[in-house]
Amino acid sequence: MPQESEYGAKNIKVLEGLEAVRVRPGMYIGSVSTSGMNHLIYEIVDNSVDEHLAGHCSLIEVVIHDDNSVTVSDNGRGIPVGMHEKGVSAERVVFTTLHAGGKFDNDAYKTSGGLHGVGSSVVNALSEYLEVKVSQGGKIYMDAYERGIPIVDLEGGLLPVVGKTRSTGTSITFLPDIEIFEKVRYNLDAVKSRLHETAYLNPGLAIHYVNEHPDAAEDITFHETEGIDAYIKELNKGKETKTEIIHFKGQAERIEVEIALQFVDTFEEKILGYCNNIYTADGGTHLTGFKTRFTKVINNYARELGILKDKDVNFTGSDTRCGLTAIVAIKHYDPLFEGQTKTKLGSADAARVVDQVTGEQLELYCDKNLETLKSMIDCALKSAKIRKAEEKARSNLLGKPKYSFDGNGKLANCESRVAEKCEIFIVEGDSAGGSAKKARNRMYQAIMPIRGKILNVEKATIDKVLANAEIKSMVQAFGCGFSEGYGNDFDITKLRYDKIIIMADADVDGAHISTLLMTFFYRFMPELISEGHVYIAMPPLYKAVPSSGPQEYIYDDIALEHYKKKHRNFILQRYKGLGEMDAEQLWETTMDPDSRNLKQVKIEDARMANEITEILMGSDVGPRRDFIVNHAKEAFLDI
Amino acid sequence: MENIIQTEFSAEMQQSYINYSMSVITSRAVPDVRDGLKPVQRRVLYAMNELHLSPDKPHRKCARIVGDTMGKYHPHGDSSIYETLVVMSQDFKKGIALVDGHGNFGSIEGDGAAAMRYTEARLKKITQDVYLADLDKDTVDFVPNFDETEKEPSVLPVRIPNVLVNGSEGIAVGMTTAIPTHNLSEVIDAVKYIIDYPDASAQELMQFIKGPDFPTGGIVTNKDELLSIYETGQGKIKIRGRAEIVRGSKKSEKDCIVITEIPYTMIGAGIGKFLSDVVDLVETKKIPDIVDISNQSKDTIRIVIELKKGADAEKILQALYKKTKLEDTYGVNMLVISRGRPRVLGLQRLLTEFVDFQMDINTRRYTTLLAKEKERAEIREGLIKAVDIIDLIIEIIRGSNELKTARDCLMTGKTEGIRFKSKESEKQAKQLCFTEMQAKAILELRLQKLIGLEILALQKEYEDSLKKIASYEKLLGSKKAMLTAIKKDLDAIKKEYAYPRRTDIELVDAPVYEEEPEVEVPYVFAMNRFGYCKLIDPAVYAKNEESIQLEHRTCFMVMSTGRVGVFTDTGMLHQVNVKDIR
Repeated sequence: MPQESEYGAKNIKVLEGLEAVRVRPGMYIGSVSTSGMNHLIYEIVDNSVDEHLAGHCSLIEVVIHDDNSVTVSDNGRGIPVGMHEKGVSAERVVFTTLHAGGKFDNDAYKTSGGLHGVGSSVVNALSEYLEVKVSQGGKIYMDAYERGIPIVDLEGGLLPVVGKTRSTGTSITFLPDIEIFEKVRYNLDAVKSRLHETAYLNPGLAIHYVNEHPDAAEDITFHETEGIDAYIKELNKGKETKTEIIHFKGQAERIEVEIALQFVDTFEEKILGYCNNIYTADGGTHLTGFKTRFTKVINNYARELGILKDKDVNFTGSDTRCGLTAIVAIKHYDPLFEGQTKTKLGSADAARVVDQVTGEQLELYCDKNLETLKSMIDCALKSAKIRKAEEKARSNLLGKPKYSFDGNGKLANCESRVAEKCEIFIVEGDSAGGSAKKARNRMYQAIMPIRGKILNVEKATIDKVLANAEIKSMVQAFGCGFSEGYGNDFDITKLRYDKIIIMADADVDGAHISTLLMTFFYRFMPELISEGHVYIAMPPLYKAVPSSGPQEYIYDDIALEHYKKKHRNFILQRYKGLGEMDAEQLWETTMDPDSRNLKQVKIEDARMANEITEILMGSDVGPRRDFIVNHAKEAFLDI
Repeated sequence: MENIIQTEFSAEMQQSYINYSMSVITSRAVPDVRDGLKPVQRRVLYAMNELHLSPDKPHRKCARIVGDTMGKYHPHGDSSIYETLVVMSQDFKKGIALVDGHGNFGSIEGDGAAAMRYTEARLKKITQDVYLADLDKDTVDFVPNFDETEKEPSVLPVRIPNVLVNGSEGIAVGMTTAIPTHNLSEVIDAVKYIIDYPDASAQELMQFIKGPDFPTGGIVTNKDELLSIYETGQGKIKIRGRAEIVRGSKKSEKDCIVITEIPYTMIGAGIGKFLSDVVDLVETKKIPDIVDISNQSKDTIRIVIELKKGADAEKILQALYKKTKLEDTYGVNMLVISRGRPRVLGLQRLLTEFVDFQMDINTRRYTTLLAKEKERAEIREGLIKAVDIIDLIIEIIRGSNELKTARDCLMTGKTEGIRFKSKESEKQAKQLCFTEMQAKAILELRLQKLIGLEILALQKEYEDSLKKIASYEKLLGSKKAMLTAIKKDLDAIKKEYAYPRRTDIELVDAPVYEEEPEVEVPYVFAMNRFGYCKLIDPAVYAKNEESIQLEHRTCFMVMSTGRVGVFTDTGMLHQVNVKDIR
């Protein structure tokens, strides 16, 4: 290699190191795709953030240039430019030697995000060119590299001075090497999100992001003075909050802990862990410590306040975290990461310290803020109640008796078990169920009569829904579980019928029952609708028997008008209910696959579906009344 | 072939729901502003009318009425139809009962009616006279029933504002209606006033309609809020039962509170609830001076509350108003169907729409009457003419071989095929030009009509007809005359069916009840670290002093009549009555 001859034996080791990076870039930056490209930016930015953590940097600027090169500058102390013991400028050591840098000495940087000190040199190795400008001691020093190889001659082992300045800081510009990366393209949304996240975690730090691409020009400053509280606010945007944001921090064993949390009105828990500004996607010891202590604290208070009685069992961990959004950020002097992607914190002392800090600080907070504490316990209480009801319902539901004849007595099942061929009719009223049973094709048509109007699931709590006999038998009959709350066991592949056909009377109460059933499917088995398994049967409204000629079934009022124009002297029979029809008529008009009409219910507009369901079936009367008044003219009235 | 139609979830939901909700609103739960009836009520009354269950006929089994209603007009559940029938017979529920029930039709205390196979019913006189009269005079539109085998009226030609007189209550979808009952004569007076002054404000109309008039009597206590209720159609009425304090006549006897009228809202299970509420109040020592309560109601209410000797009866009565449903709220929402749409109307609009409806049915009624009278006059005119030339007519009839020949001759003077006795007769016959109706009447004329007196009577009848025609034409020609007729009609109804007001309208201060002064006793006040505080009996405190102090941050002695001052973290001082700490 040409560099060898140029730089001689003393540099061989350095070159070996960086060459290794170029041979196996994935080992250092994960991959050579866009995420690897992003990684280069993060490595450099993280170094600047470390300067911030050390208390010397308040502004980082990230500029994406038109040619895809990136400049990251900060107003920190600047990379040391003085003489290193290796006989060159410290700056050059940093950029050319793997595992070199200030991060190993815990005095220089108490904590840092740079994991193993590979950051700068790896970026250098993978860049077509890299330029460093260091402002320090009133002077600007400059250095530059191409694919990791210095191209600036040192003056007595030190960097050349190219200017004067009053400020301090480092500015690094690099262009990822096209030989290494598949495509030179960043995922800029991810970059922005990462920078924003960094800003949340470092309230004193402003990050200025500029994109100079002419067709995507952007200029954003991320500066979150409220820190992780603002992050919590952002995460909980649009949700109904149950408590204020609880924020506390503490320190022990040289580990700093900062935690913010808030409860919202959902069933999910969302806990984000950070160690030294690095997002730990797979959690780790810091989250374990937090969760363990949080559960304990809530349980202790619940007992102390008498909300949990002596005989009551404790809340489970997931009870206490139901609806919790939390951020646990720690600063560790020597973090240990585990797992393939190094996204799980493994430091055992983190668990201990977070546990300790959470215990002390949360109790301190709760003693002062009784109302918030009670709201938190309320959330746990509600969750525990629902969990118990659900467990009970689930064990009733899923613990099928040994000798199950289709699970319940209501269902008249079909002979075939081939799901693609089978149909189930949900029939309004027991009397209509009788004729439907007689009329059906026993091979592949199942009948399930439901009595009267089923529960409006939009207004009911989940435990009520699961306790409802009608709904239970439906869930059981479909065989594909249901999706809501804790254990989502919905599995559409287990669906036992290809068509679920709602067969209600052709009057307005039938229409109401259809809406109730559709609401149930939509909220608890939405895939049934989106995959097109839900149908509505269309029984005829009238039968006309003319004095001569064949009788005819009429399916709507418009058709009736047409019929009236064409025929005179006929007897009209109005079908108010399915029970009015003979089994044979029912088969002929409504159930026979060869002649029937079916409406297939689809969801094209998901937002609208959700909105309409909320308005029509929800517990808020105002919007419903407005809707009715506004749409009054569209109604087909029943006498 | 199977025919599968794709529909969008939200569209299907929307259409189904709007069909359902609008049907419930317009044809189930909300009354029509014109006749004040919900469809099921209208159908029951019409079915009874069709069964000819007039007040002078014997009662008929309710099952028969329900069956007819369901089979002919109302294809829904039988229980809701029977319930409608029952309520229409209950004079404690309705301002005017429309059905005359025979047998157990339930009681004010909430007992249900006997099953419909036991009970019998017929129409009341007022129902027939005021609600169902003139149905045969094309006063209202008839529409086909559900299977187009029958016709039913789309509205009944009710001649009083039933929506106010009998009120209405119903729960639809997204909206409810609650209209209290009113006094018939007051409402009629208001209608007469608004006929004269169509722009009359609610305030002017309240000269006549003082307020609701509940069949249960009682007292409306918020007179000052009624105006706004009648202006907007919405608001809250406070009603209380009527109670009197009966002093013991002898020294040894105890005072009693006797309740003779209950608030309208207490009808049904409310009375039982009231009794148990009073017992609760006594048991929890909130009103300790009550010794006994007994329900001695028959068809009239009489609930006797016996008091301790020397008790302050007036004070206890105030406490009952405050703490039980003896004073209650009736939420008014005058939602009606007006021109096919649900609307909340104030008093003025309600009455205006009623007057419009009366104009409409009266116009149609007189138009029908006029047409009929004109027909009658035409026939009578023909008959009178025919009597004059009766000999000629007899000649024509005798000379004809066929009915048609004779009739043609009477109408057109065609004489072919008729054998006349003389040329003179034939000549006269050629001039005949009766109308078809006249000719028909002449040919059907009975010989006895030729008696001298009968002829005079005919003459008089003809003159009557002419007079009637003139008066109908006058009515139809002038709106003012029509309105005068409507007023006269209303006066007649008022004269026959008026009843005195039953509910008093007053402005009474909200009931005041001061708790008994507490006996002063010492307690230990204890507050824990959460700021929860409680009172502990000093004896208990003495026994467990150590553990209580461990649990509680603050402990000190207080008197039960005293107050505790509490500082907040912002430096505010709040005072809390010790007796409020429990």
